[in-house]
Amino acid sequence: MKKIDKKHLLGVLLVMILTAGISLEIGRVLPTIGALDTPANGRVSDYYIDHAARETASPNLVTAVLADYRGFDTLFETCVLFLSGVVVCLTLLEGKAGKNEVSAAAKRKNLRQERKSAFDLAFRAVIPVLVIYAVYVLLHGEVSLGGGFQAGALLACAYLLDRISPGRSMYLPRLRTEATLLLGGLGTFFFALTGVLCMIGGGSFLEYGALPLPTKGEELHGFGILMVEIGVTVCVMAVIIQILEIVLERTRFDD
Amino acid sequence: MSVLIAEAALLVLLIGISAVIIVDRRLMSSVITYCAFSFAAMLLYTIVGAADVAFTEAVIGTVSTVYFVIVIKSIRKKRGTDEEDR
Repeated sequence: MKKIDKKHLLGVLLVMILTAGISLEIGRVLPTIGALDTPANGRVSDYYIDHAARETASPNLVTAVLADYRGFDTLFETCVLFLSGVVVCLTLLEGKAGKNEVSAAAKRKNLRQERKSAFDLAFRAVIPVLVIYAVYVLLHGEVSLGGGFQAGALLACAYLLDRISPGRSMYLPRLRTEATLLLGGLGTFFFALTGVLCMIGGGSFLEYGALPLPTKGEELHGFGILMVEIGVTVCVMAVIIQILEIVLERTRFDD
Repeated sequence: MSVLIAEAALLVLLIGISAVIIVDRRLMSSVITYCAFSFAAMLLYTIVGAADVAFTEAVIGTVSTVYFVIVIKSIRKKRGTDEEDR
């Protein structure tokens, strides 16, 4: 552990005091948390309840808010997630393991193979169910609870179980750190691309009714939401897997 | 009324579990107790009527528990110690 410089400490303290002061000043302007007369508690919810079904042609109120009224919010949430994955990659990633160590790990793996059959059996049953459930959650995102984020987390969960179960090769395709980074970026890009496609179709950004596809009305809207949620799913899954892979790579586990 | 009782019980359980997590000196058992915390929170969300949030909590609770276990094991490996008590 490096000793902290006194000058450094002074700078950090200054930044902390400044940040705290600015936040407190801003906090004075913001409405009181939980007060009944704030905009969020008064007009907006009623507006959503009254107008959402007609304006967005969305079958579910939550989806209408998530993907329509707050589409930008969701888009940049996905961006933040992807960025956090990149930052984890930058701070934690080290040089790759040498080949000798890898082969040694593989030898130990073979030794362990016999002992862990209970884990193997349990995960063999659970993983396909998890993957199917994730796809179900994704495809029913606009009518039921769940959606892109949950589906991505479920997929990542299946991958996690598969990855950490010791003593055999994986059922699911093994993803490298670079591949997950790429996947996360692609997911975010797909979300933004959906918005741009809406613009090409003559609407505004993320206006699903204007997607240049042969269907109309509610079906088209559902399709737009599905595209957006596929983007979110891929991004969430990729980031969760990426962090796991980086941590595993750092310590070079054999189990 | 019974819903209220269930809610109160779950809230007390949440406080109890968090106290256990803080007091427990063994990291691994803290992490497993944290899994129980997330389960109780999930039940609470379901009672309140936020099935969406409950679903997310269930999935993320599992994932984060796995993360913590992996990180603790990796720290032990880095230290070169593999004792189970700490």
